[in-house]
Amino acid sequence: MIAKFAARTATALSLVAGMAMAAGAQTQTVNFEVKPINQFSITSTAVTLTITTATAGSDPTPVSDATSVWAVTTNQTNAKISANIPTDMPAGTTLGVLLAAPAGATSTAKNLASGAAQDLVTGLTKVKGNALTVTYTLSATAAAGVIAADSRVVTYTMTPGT
Amino acid sequence: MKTVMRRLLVIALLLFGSRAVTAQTITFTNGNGGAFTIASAVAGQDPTAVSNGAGNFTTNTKKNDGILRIRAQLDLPMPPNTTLTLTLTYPAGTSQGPQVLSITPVDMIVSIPSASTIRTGTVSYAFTATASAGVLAPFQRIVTLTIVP
Repeated sequence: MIAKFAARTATALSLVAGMAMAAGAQTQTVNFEVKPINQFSITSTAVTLTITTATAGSDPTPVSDATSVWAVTTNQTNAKISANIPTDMPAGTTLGVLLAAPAGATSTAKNLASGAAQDLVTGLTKVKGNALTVTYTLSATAAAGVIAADSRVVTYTMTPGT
Repeated sequence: MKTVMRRLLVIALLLFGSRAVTAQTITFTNGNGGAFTIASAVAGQDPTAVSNGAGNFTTNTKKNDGILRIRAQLDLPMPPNTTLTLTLTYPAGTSQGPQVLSITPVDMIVSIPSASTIRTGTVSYAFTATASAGVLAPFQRIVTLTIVP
């Protein structure tokens, strides 16, 4: 009998204690979402590449510029960066570009051309990268001859992942 | 013996019941803490955090409650590489500043002096996600505020 009443008393006390605890607590619901994000940027400073020398017996010496940087943020999987130029380079010349890749991505040096964009960085997956180097390289064969000052606008495109 | 036990039970109920009546209470003025959608970033940086002011909360305390504190916790952990930070302002006690919430209670306001009064504070949240968090479909968490000795 004593045990029975003790059990009832304990139950009653638990209920009362529960009431006291509930009185000092309150809840609020918060809703969240993270949407697909793909952002990249390249410093837009113009780059000038001038070929002026050669080693005797070889094609003119290529020149490079690595003063530009790029940055990227993606929260998707397998995004990529590609690039092209509006018109092909003069005969006998190539304009190469190499983007340093952020962690986990793959970078490939490509010679730019008009038409389909060339994939420069692939496998961009849930990553951010800042102050990544952009390297341009101008090459010309002897057959290209002397070329007056010319320019190309390089268009970069980021393709979202999944 | 039966009568004694009944009397003890009644006394116990009266004692603890009176505590329930005088116990401190805390109430959100809005049960919805808001919706947080991260949808942008500056290239090279993690996605841009979002924040809001989620309204107010009120407390009703009694002088015999003693020194109190307000604590906060979540019902479930946040997804990896995301955080929910809560900031409370309150006219008494000592604020612990913005606190990242988890399933473990964290002190938000401490050393609240005892007083028979109703006080109002403000609630604001900040939601962050790194690029590593990926894309997250809509989800929700329940924030619980408690005011305890």
